[in-house]
Amino acid sequence: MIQLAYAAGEANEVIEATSGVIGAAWLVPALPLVGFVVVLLATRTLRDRAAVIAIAASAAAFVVSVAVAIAVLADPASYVRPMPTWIDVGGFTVTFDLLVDQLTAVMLLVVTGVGFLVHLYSVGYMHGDERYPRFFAYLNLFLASMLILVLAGDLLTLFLGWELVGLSSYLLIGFWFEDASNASAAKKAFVTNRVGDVSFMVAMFLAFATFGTLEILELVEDAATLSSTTAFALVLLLMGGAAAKSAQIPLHVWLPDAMAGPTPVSALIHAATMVTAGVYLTVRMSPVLVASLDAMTVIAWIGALTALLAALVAVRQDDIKKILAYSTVSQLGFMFIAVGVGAFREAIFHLVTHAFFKGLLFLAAGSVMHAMANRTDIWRMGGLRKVMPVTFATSLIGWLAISGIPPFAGFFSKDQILTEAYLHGFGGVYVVGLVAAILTAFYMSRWFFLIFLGTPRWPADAHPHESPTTMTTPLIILAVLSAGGGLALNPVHSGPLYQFLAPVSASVEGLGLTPAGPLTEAVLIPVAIVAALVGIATAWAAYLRRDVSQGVVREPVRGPLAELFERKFFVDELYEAVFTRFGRRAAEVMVWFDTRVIDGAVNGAGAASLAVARTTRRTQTGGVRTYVGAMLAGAIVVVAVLMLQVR
Amino acid sequence: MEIGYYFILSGLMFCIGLVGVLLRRNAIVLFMCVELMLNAVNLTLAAAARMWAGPDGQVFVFFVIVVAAAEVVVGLAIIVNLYFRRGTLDVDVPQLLRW
Amino acid sequence: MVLAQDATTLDVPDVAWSSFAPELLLTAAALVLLLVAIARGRQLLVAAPTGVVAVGLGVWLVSTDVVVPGAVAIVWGLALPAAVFAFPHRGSLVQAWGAGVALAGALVLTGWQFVTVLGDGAGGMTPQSALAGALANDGIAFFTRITVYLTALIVLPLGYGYLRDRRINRAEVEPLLLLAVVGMAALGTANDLITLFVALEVLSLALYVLTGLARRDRRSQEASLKYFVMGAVASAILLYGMALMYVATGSLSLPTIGSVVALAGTNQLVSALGLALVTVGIGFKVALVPFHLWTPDVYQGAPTNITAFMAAATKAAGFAAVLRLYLVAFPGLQGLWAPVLAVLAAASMLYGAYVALVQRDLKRMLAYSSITHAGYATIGVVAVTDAGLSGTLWYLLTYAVSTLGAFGCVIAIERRRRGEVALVDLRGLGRTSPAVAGILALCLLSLAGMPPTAGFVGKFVVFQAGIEAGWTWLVVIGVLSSIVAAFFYLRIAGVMFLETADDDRPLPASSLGLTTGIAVSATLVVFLGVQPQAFLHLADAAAALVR
Repeated sequence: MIQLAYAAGEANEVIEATSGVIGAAWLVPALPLVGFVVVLLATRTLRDRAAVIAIAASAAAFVVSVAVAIAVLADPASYVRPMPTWIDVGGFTVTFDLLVDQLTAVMLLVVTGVGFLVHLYSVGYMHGDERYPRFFAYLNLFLASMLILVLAGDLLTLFLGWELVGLSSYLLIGFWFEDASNASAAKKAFVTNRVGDVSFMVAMFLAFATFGTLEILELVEDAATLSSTTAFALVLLLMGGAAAKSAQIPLHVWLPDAMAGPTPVSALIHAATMVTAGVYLTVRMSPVLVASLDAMTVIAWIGALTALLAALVAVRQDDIKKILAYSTVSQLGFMFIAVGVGAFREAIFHLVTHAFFKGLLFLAAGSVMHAMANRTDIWRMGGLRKVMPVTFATSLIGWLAISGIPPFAGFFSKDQILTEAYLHGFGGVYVVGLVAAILTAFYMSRWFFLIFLGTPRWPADAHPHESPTTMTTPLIILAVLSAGGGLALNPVHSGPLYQFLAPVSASVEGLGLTPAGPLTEAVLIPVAIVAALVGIATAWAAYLRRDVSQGVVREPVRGPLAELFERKFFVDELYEAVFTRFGRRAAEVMVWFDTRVIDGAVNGAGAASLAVARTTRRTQTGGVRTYVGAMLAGAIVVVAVLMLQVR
Repeated sequence: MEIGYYFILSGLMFCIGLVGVLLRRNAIVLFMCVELMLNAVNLTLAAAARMWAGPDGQVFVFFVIVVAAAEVVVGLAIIVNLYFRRGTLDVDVPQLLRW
Repeated sequence: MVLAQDATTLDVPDVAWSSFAPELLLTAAALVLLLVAIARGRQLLVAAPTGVVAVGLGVWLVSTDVVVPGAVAIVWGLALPAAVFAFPHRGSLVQAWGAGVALAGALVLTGWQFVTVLGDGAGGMTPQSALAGALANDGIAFFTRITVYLTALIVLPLGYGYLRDRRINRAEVEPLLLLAVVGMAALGTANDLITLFVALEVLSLALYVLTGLARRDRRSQEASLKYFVMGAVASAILLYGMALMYVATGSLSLPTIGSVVALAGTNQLVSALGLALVTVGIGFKVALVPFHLWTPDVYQGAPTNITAFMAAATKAAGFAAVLRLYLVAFPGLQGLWAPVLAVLAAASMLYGAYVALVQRDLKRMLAYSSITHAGYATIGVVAVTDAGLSGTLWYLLTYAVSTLGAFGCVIAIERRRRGEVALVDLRGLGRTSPAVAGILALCLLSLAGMPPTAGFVGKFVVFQAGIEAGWTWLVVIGVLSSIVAAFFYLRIAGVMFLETADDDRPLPASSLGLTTGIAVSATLVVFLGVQPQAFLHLADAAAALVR
């Protein structure tokens, strides 16, 4: 039943499509773009009703995407939809041509599908906001940018979408800019992403210098001719760009802060779509990646470390959205593990299921916050199961999905990534990934238990209630997808999704990868399930079995030495002690490391720049003669340099 | 006489002008130092025209003279206006525009 | 310039009027407008005869089958008396319209030159040399003309209301502006050292006066003096460098210098010294570090419309001279100057970006940004390739439209406070005046090089040329400096959109001219970013030089 090795599919045929469904693919980004402009213009006259236009635009984009996906499914090929030229200078041509293939089809469905649901959800969530229509306009701008990114047939056009996505993310994170910390979070996100953009731009220059084109299809075709050093540099530069967008260490600092934005934004941009752009980019360029196994190993380890460290940090967070944010970083780490070990289709599969369950969890968190009047401390929740039945039920599915319990979606994708890591010989990565998986189950269970189970700990003035239908409907839809998505798409290792994606992901057969040990997939699957159960059981022991619910509003385990002495003699809690305490200490260290060292380094670089700037500005004394003197000094240097060269 | 001496002389004149710009504070004197530099160039051009036995350099000299005259007109206007505003010709008085 | 001294009869050189027709028109317009301004109450006495002469000239030209210039002359000859007649008591309006029509005419003539003389019908260019080699009608000339005329045409409406707001005595503004434009266009065409020097001085002298336009404002006066003193010294140094080139090569013609300078017999020491001094002088004009110190003070002190003009047009003209000098006259010494210019470019990019970080005055910040941009444009020069040449020309056009839009918004904001615009004055502008704030943000994003604006395509083409020519380290520094620069552009945008206003009133309404100017620049920023094709082709074709 379980096929271990699957042959990479035949390469796609390239078809130029000007008519038919594919010919209309340009509508997909165009519709939300038009929606953005129209909503901005119509806000004055239509007021809040302008939002309807934005929602209609996203729905229409979804419908067209479905049609495009069906067309690709019916007749798989790489379709190129010719569009006007953008830049054409001195043998360097960039067009707005769209590239529609299997990978694009999957991404289109995810982006427009989750995008539409989030639009719908925002109707209830943003209700009463003073800039209600503007929010929808920005959401439409984001959707258009992301779709440009996904549909781009050329790296430079992709970069256009890439930058626009960053811009709209900046606008949305800072949407409630009255609070200064939101504005600074927006700036941090933008600037961190610019660092990645530099890497991406240099990668493009290198690619153009090597291949003479930036057209994705040609790059992918010529990738085999790369020398190993060029491939190494190119892949790592691309990864630099991807790491910033997808919040991988050490460029992950912006994502937790980005939670300052409205929760639907966190769900759409910082969980389901934008942050996966890096994964999309690396998978799109997978034929280039396989040209350098060293670079792939680096990517795998970046992913593994990110997955582990972010999971450790998530263990110790108390904010309902921060936990999900670190969890997102961690899950993106899993996707990069997949990319690094050459499991490109697994990466996309996890991207899809993650979009379902993480979108679901974020929207559920938003529903909870909505009910609790924007309180975010999970220690002041508890027992919400009874008052918010729909949110509870859907969160339950999301929790099981992300924890990796079969048959929910997250199990299939995460397990297959770990399996591939092992079978491709990345033993260390596999072990780290497995630990991260256990931690994932642990912190998500903690999240779930503290919010929904136990006895209520919320303050007397809170009156939680179930959210309106516009908010619960997207939850239910996403819950269905999180429950059945994995089973439907790819129940076995080489299921329908992998068959479908085979032509667009590179083969790793030529790399000579051998399994890391004697275990087979039949053994690895139970191991993964046990790991998830261990994580859940530990959390159960820590947060449900011990009666933290009775009015406890702080982490019960504090003061490491006292705790250590107190619990030393209880054998039945040894397991928990080893696990949780070590995990918590590690998490605290990670939090410290994160805020002090990495943040400090980022801030320090900024401060150092300012210091340099303050000193150098003193060169501008204002005196004419000083200026002339400085000019002459420069002149003497220039003269001396030139004269010495001639002599 | 060796043609090189002319070049050395003009180079010296140029440097004197340059040093003058650096050292003097009076706007008018500063300006005269610039004129000295222009005349040094004229000497170079004239000497070089002789060396290459062509008219080009001499033609250039005439243009430089005309341009220098125009510069005097504009420069004096600016300096006079500044004198009315500030009551001094010292270019080192406290500055409004810096940093 | 080769006149045999012992010849008994002089060869009268054939004057190709068409080769400098746009400049001829602008010079004439400048003189007439000056006369009209002097005539005060009796403007018609000047305007009517001038109109008659111009129309007569136009009719004669049309009758000799030179249709386009004839038509331009007729239109201008009719427009001037009409304007004088229609607005008898509004001299400034007459000036502005007279200059505007002349500039539009110059643009038309440039297009006509392209069609009749330069263009080869297939979009390429055949370079022409005119006036016994003194002028070169080639790609650099053509593209510089377009950038400079377009800039001036946008600056005119931008500055019209501004000068009135600041009560600047304005009779001489338009004539001086036109003269500066003539100097800049001539700098783009100059093919020998004399023309180059004279053109440079024409534009500099006009700009010295324009900088000091606000006679009651001490900052304007101070800026004018600084600009003048330093400019004069830089001109003298440049001139000395040119003289030394003449000493070394015996020629004033740039192509001849180019062919002689690399010969074995040429005195390398003298030409290297000349090259160094020329680099210093021209580096001053385009504001490369360390010859940039005048830029922030002058940009801050000058009236804002003049600052906009200097930033956009002077930079384009200055780089035209840079391209001409280094690619036509000194390509043989490439090994000498390319590393030096590259270091200067790197220093400019980093210094400008860093010091801009701590500025509070918006105009000063844009001045430092202009230093950064001089560095970017230099990347195309040191590439010494056709791609680099057209990249620099194209970059200057994108920089011109972006910076014009930004300064236009500064003018709009200055209406509120009548004076300096500090960063705090921008707080909450996104809410009170979303249009101005949005356009300023757009132009700043373009300056920062974000797609899909003009600035991105500009940077990309220049960086691409740099990489192809092997200047990887320089491009990496350019990309790094663009991150640092993104900080301060973003800071401005952040202050506008992410901070709340102290002053909740919107900006005073802009004049029609200001609105038009800003709108045109913003449209160009987007258009050149999304559909740069037409102009990129022109820039590409502009790599044809008279060598």
